[in-house]
Amino acid sequence: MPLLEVEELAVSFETPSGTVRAVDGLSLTIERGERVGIVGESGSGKSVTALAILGLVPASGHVTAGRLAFEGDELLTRSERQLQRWRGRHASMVFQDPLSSLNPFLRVGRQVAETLEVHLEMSRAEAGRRAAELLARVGIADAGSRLRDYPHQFSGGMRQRVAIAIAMACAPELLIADEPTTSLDVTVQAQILDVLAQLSTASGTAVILITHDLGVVAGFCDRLLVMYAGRIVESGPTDAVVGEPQHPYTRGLLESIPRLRGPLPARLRSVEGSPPEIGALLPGCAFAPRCPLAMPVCLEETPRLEPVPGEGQAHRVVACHAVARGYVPVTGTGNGEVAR
Amino acid sequence: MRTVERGAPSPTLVRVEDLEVHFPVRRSAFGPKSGVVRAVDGVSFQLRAGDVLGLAGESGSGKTTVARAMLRITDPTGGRVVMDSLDISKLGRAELKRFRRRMQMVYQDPYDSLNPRLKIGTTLEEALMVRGVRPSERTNGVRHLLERVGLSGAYALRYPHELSGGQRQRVSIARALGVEPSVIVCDEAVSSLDVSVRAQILNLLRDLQETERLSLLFISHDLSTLRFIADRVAIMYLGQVVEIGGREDLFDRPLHPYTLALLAAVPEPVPRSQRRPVARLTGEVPSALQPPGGCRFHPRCPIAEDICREVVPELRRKAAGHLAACHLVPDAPPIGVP
Repeated sequence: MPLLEVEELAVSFETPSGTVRAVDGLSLTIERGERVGIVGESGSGKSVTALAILGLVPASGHVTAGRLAFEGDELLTRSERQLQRWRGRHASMVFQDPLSSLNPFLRVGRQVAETLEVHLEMSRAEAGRRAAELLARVGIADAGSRLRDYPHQFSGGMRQRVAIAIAMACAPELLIADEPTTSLDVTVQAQILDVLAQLSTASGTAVILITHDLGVVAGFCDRLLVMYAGRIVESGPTDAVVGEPQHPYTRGLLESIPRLRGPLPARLRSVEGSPPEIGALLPGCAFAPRCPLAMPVCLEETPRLEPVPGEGQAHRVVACHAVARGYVPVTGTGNGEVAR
Repeated sequence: MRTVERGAPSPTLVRVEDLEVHFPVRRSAFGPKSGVVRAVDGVSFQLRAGDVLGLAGESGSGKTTVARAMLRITDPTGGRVVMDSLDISKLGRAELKRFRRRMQMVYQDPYDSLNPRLKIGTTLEEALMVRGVRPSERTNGVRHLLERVGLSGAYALRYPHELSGGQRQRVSIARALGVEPSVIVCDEAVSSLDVSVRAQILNLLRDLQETERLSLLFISHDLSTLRFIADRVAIMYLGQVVEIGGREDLFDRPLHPYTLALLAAVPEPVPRSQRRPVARLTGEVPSALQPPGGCRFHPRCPIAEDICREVVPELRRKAAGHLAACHLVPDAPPIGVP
């Protein structure tokens, strides 16, 4: 049984200007201990997906799903009380800004210990000892004496370590990390990703890493989902998606990133236009207005996620009429496409 | 591959010499000074006409403070910034106003830098007014500015909130171009844009720079972006430049251990087989209130020796046009010696 099953998840919000759909018919499965990346630009619905899985969508949002199950049990029908007991113990989250999840008035040691007392029913003394161990494991030097410090006494990177220590305190089965390193310097980002990798491996925790940064997921995740305008447009093993992207959006995204090595282009290939505002859904493919391969059918019919024709290894699916009809990118040169 | 070949180096446009920006720190609002933050501590570099100089570093490196001191938004506490044989750090108010036309800044967040109550056309007209463009020519001037940044003239009638992030950043660039400056300073100008939009703005800056021979100081924490946009790159650490050189020197033959560590930490979107082994830097950037003695990087440096803890390394010539501040990288032979 997979750890997490999501079928046809949809999240919409009521706004003064009408109903907007942030996530539209998203399905995904996460196995135990797996590391999955969700990549997308602003408005792609990647963060709302995370909130919906954990039952944290604000009251103005409306969540529906064919199935949203954790270890085979439906989550949508659970009460808020049940969800609270589940979160922290079995599933937890790390945010971009650790200050949003840390209590500024509470000593850091207390915050870690509290999680242990609430979820694992540890005694105060035992939780205190365990808190020091946890802080040491996430790489906080002199952890024993730093238990008595407040969040503002830590640097951004150290605060994120504390947030990870709290999220991983009960060795949950699932951790969702939403842009956990986006506001950190690169050298610190590398350290934080190492800590996440070590801890999740040690406790067999599955990680969903949400980010706009394809470089970050490439080094961390086994599998990638690329989201655009509330839908998955491509998913598959990391190396396949990053090495041989199929969807025109994934390709455009990868080609528009300047590289540290290799030939230096005079101009970057870019995706024309900008990501759509979250809004009312139109028929057809949401990427069509920006797509170099768009055909009339793309404006009429929403493409479904399907295996790439001729690709022997399964597991990769792409939602694109052009790919389904056999368009293949010329690999290596990054220049243009030809019909098969 | 880039086809533009450059001949002899262009003349120097801005010379920054031994620039220092120290901020006093007080424990309480009215208390005695209790220390000094050495945000920028002896920085020197030259910006050549028609060149893009990239300035990289992590938070606390002082890269933004360097820019603010160059534009006299912050007053330097030492050193000089020389442009047109004028020391900008000593200009009086009237001269400063004239100087501001020569150097413009494009910020990270166009939300903050564009007046939300003014139509785009009005914002751009103000820039033209500063330059003394006659009222009858301003409407045309605005349209021309918009076209130069890839927007149609119709955008003049819109308000900032009606534009996307990328379009707003195009308007900020148009406004900077409006006063016809010699130098544009871009401070993390593409950092908050979506990846697909970022490439468009980088292409625009590259085109403008090549067709109009603009000189740019491009500040970014993102080394990949600098490799694309910059001709020369300076790496800062704790208020000092640790390495400066041409694009190929810096990315293909980096010398300073900090530059090597920075390059190794950049996550690249490539399959596992193409990934390079990583060497992790330990610890975080220390406080600029009490920077480490000797080489400021020594507590995190994987190859530090005794001399690094004791003696401050100078920025010295290690190869032609390539300078680094590291005791352990041998100097280039003196010029004239084979």
